[in-house]
This record gives sequence, C-alpha cells and structure tokens, in this order.
Amino acid sequence: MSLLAYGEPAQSSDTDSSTAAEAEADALVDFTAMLQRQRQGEHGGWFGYDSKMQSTESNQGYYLEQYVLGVLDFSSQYGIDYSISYTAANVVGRPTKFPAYGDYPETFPMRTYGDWWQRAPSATREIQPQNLPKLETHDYVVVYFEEFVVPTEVAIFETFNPGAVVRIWAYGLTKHWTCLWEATESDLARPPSDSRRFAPALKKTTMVTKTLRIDFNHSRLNYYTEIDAIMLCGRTVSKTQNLLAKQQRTQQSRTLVSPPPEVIGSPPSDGTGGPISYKLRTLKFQPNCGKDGATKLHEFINNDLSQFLAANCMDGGETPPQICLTDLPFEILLRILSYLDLKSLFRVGQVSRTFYDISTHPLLYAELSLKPYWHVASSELLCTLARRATMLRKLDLSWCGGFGNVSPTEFKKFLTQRGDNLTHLRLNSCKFLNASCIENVGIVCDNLIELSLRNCATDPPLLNFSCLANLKNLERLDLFQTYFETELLLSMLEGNRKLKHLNLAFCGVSVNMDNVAAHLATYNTQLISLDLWKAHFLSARGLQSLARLHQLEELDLGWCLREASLGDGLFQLLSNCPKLKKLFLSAVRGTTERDLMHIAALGKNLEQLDLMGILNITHERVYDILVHCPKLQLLDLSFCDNIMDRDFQLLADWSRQFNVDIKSSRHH
Amino acid sequence: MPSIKLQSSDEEIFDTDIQIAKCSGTIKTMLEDCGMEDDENAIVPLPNVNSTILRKVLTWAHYHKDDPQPSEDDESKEKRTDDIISWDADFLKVDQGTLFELILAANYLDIKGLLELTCKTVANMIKGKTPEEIRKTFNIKKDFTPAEEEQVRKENEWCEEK
Repeated sequence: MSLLAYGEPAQSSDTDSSTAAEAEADALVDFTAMLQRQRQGEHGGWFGYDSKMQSTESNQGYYLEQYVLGVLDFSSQYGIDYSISYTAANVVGRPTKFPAYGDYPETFPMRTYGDWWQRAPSATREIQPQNLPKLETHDYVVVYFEEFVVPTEVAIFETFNPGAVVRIWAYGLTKHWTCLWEATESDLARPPSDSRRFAPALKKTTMVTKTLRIDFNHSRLNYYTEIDAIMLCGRTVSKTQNLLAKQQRTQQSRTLVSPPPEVIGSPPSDGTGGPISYKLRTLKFQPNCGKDGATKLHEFINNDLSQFLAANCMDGGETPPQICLTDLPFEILLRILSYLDLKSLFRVGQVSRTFYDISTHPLLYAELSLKPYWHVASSELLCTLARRATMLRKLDLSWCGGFGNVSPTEFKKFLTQRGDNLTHLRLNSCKFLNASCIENVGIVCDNLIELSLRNCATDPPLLNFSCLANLKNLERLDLFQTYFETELLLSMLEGNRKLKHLNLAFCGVSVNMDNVAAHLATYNTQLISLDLWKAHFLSARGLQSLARLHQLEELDLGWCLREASLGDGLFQLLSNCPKLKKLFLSAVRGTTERDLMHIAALGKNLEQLDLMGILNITHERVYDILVHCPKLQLLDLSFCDNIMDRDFQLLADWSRQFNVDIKSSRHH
Repeated sequence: MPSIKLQSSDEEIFDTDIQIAKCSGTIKTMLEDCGMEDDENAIVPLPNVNSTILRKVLTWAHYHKDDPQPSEDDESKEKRTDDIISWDADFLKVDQGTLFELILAANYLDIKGLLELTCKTVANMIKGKTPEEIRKTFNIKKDFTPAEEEQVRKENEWCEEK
C-alpha cells in the first residue's frame, strides 16, 4: 500500500499554494496535514495541527498522548482506496465520531464479521493449522505515530461492534516486534453494544516504539467492527537516551543471541584437543595434577566412569518409566511431532540427535505456514526451511517480510529449490515481493492449484508479467486488493479452464469487468465462486455473461453496477445458476422490486443474501424472500431506507420466526 | 449382543462386546479373516498387550463406541491439539509409561481415534517447552557435540523470545 495513495481524497480542499509546494517536498507530512485540514473543514472544530498532547515534562522525557500519524499496512478494509469512506486511513488523527455509536463511513471497518465468510463456498482452509494461536488473527492494521515513546497505554476507539481486537504489537528500535497485549477467550466473551475506549493493561516494557500493529479476530462479531482512532501513550526518551538505549540493546542482543565465537564455538582443528579440553582451556580451569594424575584419570575414565554416571543418575532422579518416549518406533514419534506447531517442532530438534533427525524429516514440512510467525520470519529461516522441506506442497508466507526481514533474493532462491512441486501458494500482503519474484512464481511453480496474492503492492502493478500465464492448473486465484493488467488476467482465465474460485475484489479502475465476465463465460464454466466487490465497469451485459456460469454458488457484486439498470441480468443469473448459496448485492441500487421477486421465486438454495443500501426494498419483498428461501441464514438490510428504525421489532420477530440473522444497521 | 473373548499377554480373558472389540482394525480383520465372528467360544490372543493396558483400551473403546468414523476430509482439522474432550483428558491422567504403552497398543490394535488422542497428548506435553524442559520431562540425554549444538542453536534463533 503506498502512502501517497491515501493522500488523494483531500486534494480538492487544498487552496494554499505555499503548502502545496511543501507537499511536493515531503509527501508524508503533506498527507497528514491534508487529512487534518480536511477534518477541520468537515467539522468546523479545532483540531491540533500535530496529533499529540503533552504534559508533565521532566528531564526523563515527558509523558505523551498521540494519535495515529499514518497507516503503513492493513490486510483489508471495507471501502476502496481512493474513497474516504470506510478506509483504514480513517484511524489517522483524533476520534471523529467517538463516543457516538453506530455505522459511520468516517471510521475503519474491515471486510468480514462473524463466521459467514468461513461458511461460504469460497472458504479456504488454513495451511499448517497447528501453528495458529487459540485466537487467530483475521485482519491487522499497522500504524505509526510521530514520537518514539516507552508505551504505557494503547487506547483503541471502537465506535461500532467492539470486541475484535486480539493483540497489540509494538515495533522497537531493535527491529523486533513485541506483543504488548494478547486477548484471552474471556476478553471477547461479552463485548458491550456501545462505543468504547479500549485500553487493556499492557505488558510492562522498556522498549521504545512509534509503530503499532493491531490484530483483529472477527469470529465473535455480530456485524462489522469499526475503529475510529488509536492512541499511543508513554514517556518520550531524549535523543541521547534514545541512542544509549539502542546501543545497550544491540550489545545485549549480541551477548544473548549470538555469543562471541571464542566462548561457544567449534573446537580448533589444529589437533590441540577435543571439545572438553578446549572448553577447560577457555574457562581458564587449571587443575593441579600429581605425577601419575594422567594415568589415574585415564583408568577412571576407561573403567569406572560409565558405572559412576549410571549410579549417580539413579541416585539423583526418580525411577524412570518402564518405557521411554525414545523407545517408541520412528513412525509413531513422527506422528507425535506432526501435531507440533513449527516453533515447538524446532525446539524439540534441540533436545537430542535422535529428535533432531526426526524433527527435520521432510514429511513434517510438506505444509508450511509462516503467517502466524510473520514477526520472526526471516531470510535465515527460509534458508533453513529450504533444506528441510524437500517435499513441500503448500506454502503460506502471508504477512511476512515487512521491514526488510525477508529478502526477495532469498525468497527466489527458496522457490527455485522447492517451488516446482508446490500446489498451494499464498503470498498475501508480502512486502518483499517484487516483479522478479512474481516472474519466478510463474516460471517455477507450474503445478500450482491455488495462488493467492492479496494486497500486493499497487505502485507499480506487479502483475504485469506474462510469466504468470504459464500457470495452467489453477483452481483458485485470489487477487483481492491487488492491481493487475487486464490482458494478463484474460490470458490466465483462458489458460486455467479448471478455475473454481476467483477473487477480483478492489481490483482497480483499469479492468473492464464486462470483458472479464465474457471471458469467464467462455473459458471458466466450472467457476463456483466469484468476488467482484467494488469492481468497476460491470454492466447488465456483464451480468448476462455471468449467468452462463451454471456451477456458480457464490457471487459478490457489492458496489458494482451502482445505479445502472440490471435489465433481466439478475433474472437470467438466478434462473441459470440454481446452486447459488451466497449473493451479495450491497449498494447495487439498480435492483428493482421485480428483481427482488425473482430472488424470492428462484433463490431456493440461497443461504446468505446482502441487500445493503438498496433503497426501494419494501416489507412485502422482505417477507416474500423469507418465506420462499428456506435455506436463508443471513439477510443484510442495513441502510435500506424503506425499512426504518420503527420496524426493528418486526424484523426481530421475523428473524426468530424464520431463523434468519437479519442485519439492519444505520446512522443514528 | 454377541461377545468374544480377548486374551492379554498375561493370559487374562476379557469377555468383550463384539461391536466394541471391532473398533480395533486388527481384531476386526482377525475375526473376519478367520471366520470367528459366529464362534462364541473363540479366543483372540493379543500377545502384545498386557491386561492393565487392555483394560484401559477397552474402557476407552466403550466410551467412544458411538463416535462417527473420522473422514479423510478432516485431515487438517485433526492437526489441532486443543480439541481433546474432558473425558479423554481425565482418562489419560496416567504415568508416562502407561501413556506410551497405550500408544503402542493403539498402534498394534489399529485404533485410529485412540492413537490420535494419545499422540496429541504427548505433543501437548512437548508444546511450548524449552529443549531443557523437554529433556527433563521425558528423561532424555543431550548427545550433541558442541559443533552440532551450535549449528542447531543457529537454526533455532528465530524461535527465541526477544
């Protein structure tokens, strides 16, 4: 995600030519300034030019409360980049809505809630699921602040459906991420249905940071969560202290993490003794030996040592169990280790030679996911894994490689060694990806069944290399929030006739969806799910093409078509695609009363239906749909203006009567 | 309900409901291959399982006799180890020797559910521990040369807490 991209919406309000000149010099500062000017204009109130408040100054640094200066990265957002509604950039600055509670476009919601997406036909399974923490992360946002502080409090302003925050991370001067807080099940148990300033007790730390990552888990949510602002509080450090802390830390980490070679290293190979005498020398241990000391010691070692050790061992410990772990046959130990998460698997390899051998067995590395270890994934780890994973089939490196920890070169090396048998490859939000990495995927990984490239850098678009068109076995292609060239996509669609799942949500303005739809109807008739959320240039003609995809079970047309008439496109689609389980028509305002009658008449298998923002929907049509779609579980009627707050009780009654979860959020 | 007789290695006879005995793939095959199913007095010898362990195995099989057959589709779900039900957890509050013998018995008798449960339990005893804690828990000796140890430590640097 480029920072410049966030700056676009506010340009209209800029009339000061001198700040415009400054803006060119420093796009980053300009970006924040623009946003703040924009907010001032919108609300007419005073907002500090810099987003911090300070108090209690002292020579130890001072206590500071600061709001977000900019967004570095995010995994998903509800709105589209060049809009100001429902985007991640809305967490910048002070709260704009708090303490109000409701569904506001000035905040940051993400793309999912509850488990509805997991229950849809397009749902995927996690790779190496044993790595996942109990409360897994579904989405994240990385934000930065102006000043480095030692964090004492992080406050998250949740203005709609709170309770999704599961972890707070801070990026320190030592270039490591530290988890400052982690939720337990009970933290998520009963979130209030009101706005809140969520500031959990943080882990005590002396680290210095100005970059935070917030992790979200949506599984408990009733509807989208919305974040208004994030505040980082703590004591600043003066520049000299800053440097000192940095120095100390590097020294510390040097002694802790990599001891100098003269302490623990391989013994010299010049014939001056084995590891023990080497160690004795380095410890400056100089025993005073008698004349025949050497002979006696020799005798003891040869004759009595083993007995001595055995006896001591028996004295020291309790009686060992009849059978030991190490007595189990190899294939059982392999099976036990197959349940371990990657960290535990590595640690058990440090136990003994036997366990090292078992723990490095290629069968244990057929599926690899570093996504839960995004904060520690590095080029070195990839290098180690390349040696072990000779039977690799599925790889997930999503979220890895931020801040330069994984080099594109090491990734390409890994792919060249292990990519040819890969069937599944997920590289969502991988910051290290460059054009040549993508090219490598196309050349090496020609057995891929699934390729997931969500949130790939947008500037310049990476997916403009014809090499990806080499892939011929794809059944799933996920390009959520990734820009690509239309020609490449069309040739990929032509080449991958077995394609079942395609995600083109937020794919940018350069793609003509009518052409894509026509291509799909010609070449990809096996398609089961298609996500076109916020895609442009789709018309009734495109909809008619999609109606030729008879296997379709899931179609997301949210924010497509806009005011355009659907013609008889929806009727065609519903008649020809009887398996349809999930249909999202959010803000498809051309939907008519007749279209809604078709849904009721033909949507026999519908489970999830989103009609958010369709203005002319009436009670009769809603009731009709509830009566005639027996499998319906989810119905979103938010912002359907004909259905007002006073209907709340009626909707609640229908929800119970038909056992359908009906959503109806709106502004308050 | 028809029953059969199972004989442990120490020659104890267990009168067992045939449906429960058949959760063991080994016994099921034996019965079917040797046509012993209708023979009320047939004795199935199990020379690799002693009476203490066999009793435990049969207790487990009795409790789980109505479990649905695990499908191949659940493969990735099976890798989670936080889904052990409390009855199973209580059942496996035993010393390590018994636990390992149960694993060997489940393996020999081919009882997929019990093998999975016992292996997951051992995996949970390993999870989150440092190498030294694992050695202590299972009474294992470190036998690396300093050079090997250094090599392994380097490979594991990424999983140290920082």
